[in-house]
Amino acid sequence: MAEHAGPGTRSAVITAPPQREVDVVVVGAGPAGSAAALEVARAGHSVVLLERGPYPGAKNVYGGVVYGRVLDELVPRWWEQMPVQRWVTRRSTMIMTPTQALTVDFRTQAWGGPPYNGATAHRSDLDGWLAGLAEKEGAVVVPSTVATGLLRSAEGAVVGVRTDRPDGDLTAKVVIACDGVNSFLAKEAGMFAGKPAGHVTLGVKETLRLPREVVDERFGVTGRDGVDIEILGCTGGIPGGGFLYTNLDSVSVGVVVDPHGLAARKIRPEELVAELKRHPAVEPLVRGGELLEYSAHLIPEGGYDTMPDLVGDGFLVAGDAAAMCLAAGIWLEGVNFAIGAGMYAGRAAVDAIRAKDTSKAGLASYRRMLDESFVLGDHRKLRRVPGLVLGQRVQQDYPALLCDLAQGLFHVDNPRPKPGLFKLMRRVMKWHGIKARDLLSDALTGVRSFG
Amino acid sequence: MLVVAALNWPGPRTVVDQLTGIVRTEEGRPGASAAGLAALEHVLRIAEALGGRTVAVTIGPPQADEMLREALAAGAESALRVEVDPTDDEAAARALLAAVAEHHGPPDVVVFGDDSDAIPGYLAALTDAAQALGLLELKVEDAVLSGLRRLDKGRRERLVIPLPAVCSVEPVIRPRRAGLPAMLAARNTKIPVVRPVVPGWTVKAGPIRAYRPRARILPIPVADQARDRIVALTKALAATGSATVVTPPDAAAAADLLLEYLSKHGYLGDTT
Repeated sequence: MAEHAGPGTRSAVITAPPQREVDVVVVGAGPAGSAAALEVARAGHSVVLLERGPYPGAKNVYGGVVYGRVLDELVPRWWEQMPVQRWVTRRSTMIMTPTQALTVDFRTQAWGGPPYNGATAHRSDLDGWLAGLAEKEGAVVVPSTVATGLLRSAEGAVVGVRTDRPDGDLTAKVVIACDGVNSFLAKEAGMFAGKPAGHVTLGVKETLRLPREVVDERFGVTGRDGVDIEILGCTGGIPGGGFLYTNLDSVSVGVVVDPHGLAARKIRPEELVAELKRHPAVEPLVRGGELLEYSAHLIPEGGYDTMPDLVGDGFLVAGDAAAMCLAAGIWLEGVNFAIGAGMYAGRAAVDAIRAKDTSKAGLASYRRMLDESFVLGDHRKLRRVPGLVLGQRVQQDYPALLCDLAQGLFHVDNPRPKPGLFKLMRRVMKWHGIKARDLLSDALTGVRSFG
Repeated sequence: MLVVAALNWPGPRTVVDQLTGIVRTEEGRPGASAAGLAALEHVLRIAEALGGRTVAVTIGPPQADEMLREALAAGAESALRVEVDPTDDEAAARALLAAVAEHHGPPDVVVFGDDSDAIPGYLAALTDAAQALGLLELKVEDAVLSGLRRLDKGRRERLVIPLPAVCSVEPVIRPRRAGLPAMLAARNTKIPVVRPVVPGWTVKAGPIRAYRPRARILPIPVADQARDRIVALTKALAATGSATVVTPPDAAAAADLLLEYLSKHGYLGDTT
């Protein structure tokens, strides 16, 4: 066996009865994996949490804002212990063209105290904290270990994983795959059969060091208050969007774009980030920032319709591995869905083990819990949004229309009289070649999705 | 025989901004360095060849337990974490020695990674052991420990290392990969912690004062003009010799040249 084998593509079949070395194996110590391991360990069952990196959180590729409400159920008073950079008390949506920016800005101090709403955090800290909680409850974290394939019984049920370590087979009653956006285990288990491929976006992030007082001053915050800015129209015509988040003494700025569009336009992702940083609305916020980190990662933004099957015989899928990332314009969330899905996967595994039935039917409570919760509720409700927000009109035409409309409204053109709003609207729609029926159709889709 | 792998736990590192000169500290990446892992692998091989016991030891905080558990999984028989805040490398060496000696007895071979500063040197001095530092190779042949070290101009030096010995190694070999059962077994192992009392500085420092060289009394130069007297005193316009470039054939010849120069200019006093 290769010392650092790549992801497996073929399952190994165990002919002898499996040893069942542990009750549950969780693959991937991200938010989903650690939440699953925490639930299983709390229930008193043995659980091994395999992590590909040298420690949980080694792969800090993440924007990012954590919405911690789901943690109320998992970690009481989580806000007193979670490693937070800043609590988000101000959220902005910035719509821009190369020279214009229209910002909808909202702030509330209600989010600056318990039980809080969202927080910026580094995944290196967050993952380590969550995995540490699981370890304290008895989960065994095994780092620097890649699950290279599945172990199956002669009947085809998943009974464990094969790892890249010597003597690396580990059998279990249930395997929970939380192995990220590429989830080779879910693919190997056939969970994506019949699902559309190529539904990922590429997230590119720079972390820029700025003194804490400079961040406070530029973003108009104090103490641990922070800002989350989502940006539309900053990706040079490639479907996607941008973001700018405040950390304690740094900011995270970047774009999320369609990799196919990127390839078609022959633009390097760092050029898009550089362009975003040069924009007149962004440059004053990031000026002088010292580059600490540049990173890129795929994000499963396809939504509900691209999710794999979530339950198999002895097998569950959660988090990014199950495409549980919501990219719905004003909402860009993933960690909360991962934590929720991981928690329910852990509970379903515990229920199945207690009922001595870890077949697909025995594990079906996972899907039920997801359906009844925000995890699949939100994804199902917003299933049409990815198609809407990643379309040409929302990506390019509407930002330009809104910016020109705002410019026309606020431009004082004396001695000519001020134009009426509808006249102005008709004028900018004509400029940008936007038809009224398309606008109405998109508005209707938006209302149906978000309403 | 006791063979010890002394792993370096990376503390905060100092980073200087090349443009602004601003100095800041950053937390190091947790885990053993490549040199430390190479040291562990050498220790395991030496113990296999000479039939000794192996101990992995580090000075570090509780987070360092993970690193020691991985050493146990890779094959170290026991581990020891030393929890002190040594003020200098000598104190660190004393702390390591005290901890290992208390729990396992005096070590026969201690192997460090080459990122361990002067600790190996101090440890060798404290234990009166042979020291072989910065090794590319460390192996046992016919029950004899030998090493290979880089020299200038691409040369190599092969050493026969008597025991007890303190060695440090460059990260040129990869550590063995621990098996999954060993990893699982090591995860719940409790790492013994030692907090030895480390004596402070043995050298007493006096109050800090500016250095003032003693005045040298020179005879007044004979000249009518004040300027000429100053020039004579300072030898400002005197011809000075250019730097002498010497290319001694070996280190011994270079030392001879240096001594000759120092003696000629009175730095060594009267050596006759």
